[in-house]
Amino acid sequence: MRSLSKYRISISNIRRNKLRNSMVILSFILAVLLGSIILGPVYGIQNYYVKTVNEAGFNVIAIFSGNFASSSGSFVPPTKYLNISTVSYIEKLENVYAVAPVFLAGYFVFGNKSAYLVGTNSQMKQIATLDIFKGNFVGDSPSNSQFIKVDLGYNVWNYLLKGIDVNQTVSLSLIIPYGYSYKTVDISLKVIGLLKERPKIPSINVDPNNIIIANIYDVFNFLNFTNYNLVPLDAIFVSAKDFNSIDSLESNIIATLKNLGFTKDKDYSIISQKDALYYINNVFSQFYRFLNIIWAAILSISSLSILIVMFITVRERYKEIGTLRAIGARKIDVLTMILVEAFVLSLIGVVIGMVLGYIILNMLKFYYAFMQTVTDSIIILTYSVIVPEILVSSIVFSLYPAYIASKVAPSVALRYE
Amino acid sequence: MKKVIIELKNVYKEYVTNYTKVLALNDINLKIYENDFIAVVGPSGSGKTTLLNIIGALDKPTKGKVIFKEQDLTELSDKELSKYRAENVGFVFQTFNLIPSLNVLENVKLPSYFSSKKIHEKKFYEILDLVGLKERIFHKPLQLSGGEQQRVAIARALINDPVIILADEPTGNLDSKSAESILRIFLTLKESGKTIVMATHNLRLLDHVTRIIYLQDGAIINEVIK
Repeated sequence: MRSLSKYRISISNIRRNKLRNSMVILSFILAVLLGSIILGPVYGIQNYYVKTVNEAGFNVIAIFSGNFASSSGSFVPPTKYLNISTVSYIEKLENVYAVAPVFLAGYFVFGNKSAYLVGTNSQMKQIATLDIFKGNFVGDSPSNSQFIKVDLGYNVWNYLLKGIDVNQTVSLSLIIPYGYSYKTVDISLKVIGLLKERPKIPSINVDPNNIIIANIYDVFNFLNFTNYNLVPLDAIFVSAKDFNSIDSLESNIIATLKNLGFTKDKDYSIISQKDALYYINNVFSQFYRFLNIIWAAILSISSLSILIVMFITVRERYKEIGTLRAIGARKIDVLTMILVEAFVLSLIGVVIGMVLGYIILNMLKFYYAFMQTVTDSIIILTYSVIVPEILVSSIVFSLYPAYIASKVAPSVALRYE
Repeated sequence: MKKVIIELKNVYKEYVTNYTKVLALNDINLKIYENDFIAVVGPSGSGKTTLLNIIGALDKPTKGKVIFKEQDLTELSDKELSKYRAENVGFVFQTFNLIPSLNVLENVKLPSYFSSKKIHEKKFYEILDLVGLKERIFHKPLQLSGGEQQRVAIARALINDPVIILADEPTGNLDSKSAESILRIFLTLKESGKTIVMATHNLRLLDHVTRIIYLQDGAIINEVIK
């Protein structure tokens, strides 16, 4: 207990030179504020993307017809389309957990909103991790009834067809592509399931909450497609058995499609959850390199402020240091007393900065939508990165003045005026 | 036969200032006995403060030995010298040297933070009572007069019950009235058996000391034992 009592001097010294110490505290407040305002939103956005990709499905590899990532930035039509027979080749590959074709038949208009009719199979439920709120998911074989059995996305049954329930039927107008234009056809749907809300899937423009899912063969039959293998699919979704086998399965799919005569990045584009995570982390790591330079500059300013102030403090207190040495303080006592003073100064600034940073980050949420990604846990994560760096740098930068203080000979320090 | 507390043997102290060597102490041989009250007198620059610094281990001699309890202080490490100062020496300075951010009580407690000696809380108040500052324990040094500050410094020097008290012109910065009260405290300490070495210009004090050491150019030119 006695050994800690000496640090009372460090604490009491903070109350001296209020203006100078306030400037140091202010520099630490600004360091935390700037650090949290710069890094917080970036952590938030990265976390949002990573979370969204992780929630996109179960070890998903998505194969899209055409090239979405062409240099022109627009969709380039393929010369050879993915089709139902392609699905059968992919199903046979090693490490495949599930495969589902995706056929966007057309869309329904509800006022200023719309919902897509998606033809797929039962495996889409596992691949896209769709949860049933009520009823069942569509099957794998055609129903051959006058109604097309469908599952409704969360927004469809909650808002667009508000009040509809399982086993009810509804007649809607489906807008489908017709040559270079569109045409409207009437369609009768029977609701067999209602889906729970789920996050949007990255890279896919269709919101999974705004879809109506039907068996792909029911959709083909409704549109009078007699030869299923000639119907161009929009995409094929594949699930790997586990996360580590995604890469090998993706390679096998590319090899298989090559054997089938498809040209990658021309006839189809392929992206996996693992690729998406890699791209996100790669982009952000480059961004962090840039931000780290800014952060280092901010940190340098606060660190230099403590270095200069502690130098002045030590110079001013030479005589006091001599007195302390005369009454028995060791070199290490003087060193740690100076370091404690610097640490407490920076800690005061950091704590105030954390409180202000929290308030400002939350206030910014009212003005910028992307700030919604900066959750409390992201703020804590940001603080867990910047606060130790600030405190450690304040100690490191105070070491030299503290060392100078501890090295001064007591008799010299006592003579100092 | 009085017991020797500290003995200086052929002590030299040389300083280098502005590329010039200054001999601050020149072949000092001195034995300080238990219950001694020694006045060190001499003109400015005669080496009084240097002598006190050597006895108090604030400085090391260039040559010679300083023996305390059969141990040569010049051979001790910085850590051991700190322990020696914390537990055996009480310093009183001309300029008081109190820590301005601490109050009277905290200043008096200060040496106890660096000493392994256990001090009962009651003792802080007893010592402040001895120097007549019991009512002002929560005042900061700047709220006290020079005489009061010096009394706090004396209380601080006494708190670890040191073997020797080293006072460097303790009345040098005080008016005659305050100086008188400080002298009275030192006389009380002398009567209670404390060993005191005091550098001073105050001739009033010389009537009360047991020995007077005259220093000139760093050498003892005369010693009067009373």
